[in-house]
Amino acid sequence: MRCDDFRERVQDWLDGALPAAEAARLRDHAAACPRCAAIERDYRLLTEALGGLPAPEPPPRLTERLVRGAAPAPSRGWRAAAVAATVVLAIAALPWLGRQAPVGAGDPAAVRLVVDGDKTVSLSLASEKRLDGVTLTLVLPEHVELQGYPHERRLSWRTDLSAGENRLRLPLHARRAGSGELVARIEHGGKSRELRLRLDSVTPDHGRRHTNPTTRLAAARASRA
Amino acid sequence: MAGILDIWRHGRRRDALVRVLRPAMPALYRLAYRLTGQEADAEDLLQDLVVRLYDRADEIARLDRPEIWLSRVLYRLYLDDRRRRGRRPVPVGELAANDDDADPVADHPDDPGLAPEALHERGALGERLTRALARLPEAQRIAVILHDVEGYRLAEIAAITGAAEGTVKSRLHRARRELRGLLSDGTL
Repeated sequence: MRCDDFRERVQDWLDGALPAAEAARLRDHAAACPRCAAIERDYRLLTEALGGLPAPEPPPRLTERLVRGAAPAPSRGWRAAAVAATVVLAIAALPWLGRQAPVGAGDPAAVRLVVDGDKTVSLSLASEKRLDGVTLTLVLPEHVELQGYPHERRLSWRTDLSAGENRLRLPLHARRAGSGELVARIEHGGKSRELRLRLDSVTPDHGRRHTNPTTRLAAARASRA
Repeated sequence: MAGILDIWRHGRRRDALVRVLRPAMPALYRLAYRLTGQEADAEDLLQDLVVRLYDRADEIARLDRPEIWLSRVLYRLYLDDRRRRGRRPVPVGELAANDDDADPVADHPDDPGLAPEALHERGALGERLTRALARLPEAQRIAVILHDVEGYRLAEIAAITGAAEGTVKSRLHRARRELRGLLSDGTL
C-alpha cells in the first residue's frame, strides 16, 4: 500500500467502515511507516478529544418549563411573531412583592433594537407557588411597540402564574430611533413588582456595529403576598 | 391580549408534550448547546422548537425515532435563526457542491502532526479544539459535532441535516483534516 492510499482511507478505517481485509492492509502499512502511523495516532487522539468535549447538563425540569412557555395563542400573528423574532433572554430571580426597589431600577438591563427591526424579549417570572388573578401590565417607550398591538403603549391583562418559571415572550418592533424603558408590572393581592428593561433603537448602520443579542435581567421570585 | 394570557394556560396537550419530549431533551439540549455555543441561546432555540411542536404530541409519539426527527426540526430552526440574525449565512447547497473539490488541507507526508504531549493536556486541548471548531465552515462543523462529539451515525446525520450520506461523510473527513491542520500549526 502506498502512503497516498493509506491517507485516503485512514479515516474510514478508524471509523470501522472498511472490510476486515482492507483494514488489515492499513494496519500493516501503519506498522511499517512511521509517518502514516503518526497520522493514524493524530486522528485517534482527535476523535477521542472531540468525544470528550464537555457540555452542560440541561437545567432541572427544562422540558416542563419549555412546554409551559410555548402555550399557543389564538392569535396567529402573536405566535408567528414569537417564533420568528430574534431572541433576547431575560431571566429573573428576585424576592417578590413588597420590596420597594423595582427590578432593574437605576441600572436596568438594556436591549438594542434596529429601527424597523423585530426582536423578541423573553421575561421570566419565577413563582414559588401558583398565583391566580395576577395583573400584568406592560408600559412601552414611545419608539417601540408590541407586534400585533400598534401604537398601544400600555397593555394590561389578568392571568395566572404557574409555580416555577413563567416565560413571557414579547415580540417587539422598533418604530424609530430612541431610548426608553419597557416596564412590566406584576400585581397581586394589592402589592406589585416591576421589571425594567431599557430599549435602545438605532438605525441599521449604527446597529451593525453593536451586536449583543442576549441580555439577562434579574427576575422576580413570586410568593403569595 | 388573549394570546399572552394563553401563555400560562394549562392543559392536557401540555402534559402530553412533556411526556414525549422529556426522553429526548438531554440529547436535544446538548445539540442546541453545541450548535449555538451558549446555554441561553440553546434554551431559546429549544423554546422555539417546543412552540412549533405544541399541537403535535400525538404525532411525535407515533414516530419510530422521535429524537432524530426532533433533532432535524431543531437544526432547521437553528439555520433559520442564523439567517435572521444576519450572521454568516449557511449556504448548505454551496458547501455540498464544494465538498468534492480538491482538498486544500489534505494530509501531507511532511506536516508536523499533533504534538502528543500537548494533546495529553486535556484542558488546553479542549480549548484549542473549541477554537478550531469555530473556524470550520458551518457544514463541516455540524458534521463533526454530530458525528464525533455527539455520536450520531452518518445516516442519522443525513436525516437531520437533509444532506446525502456521502456528502456528510465528505464533510466529516474534511473537517477532521482541517482540525488536524489547525491544531498542528500552533496558531490556536
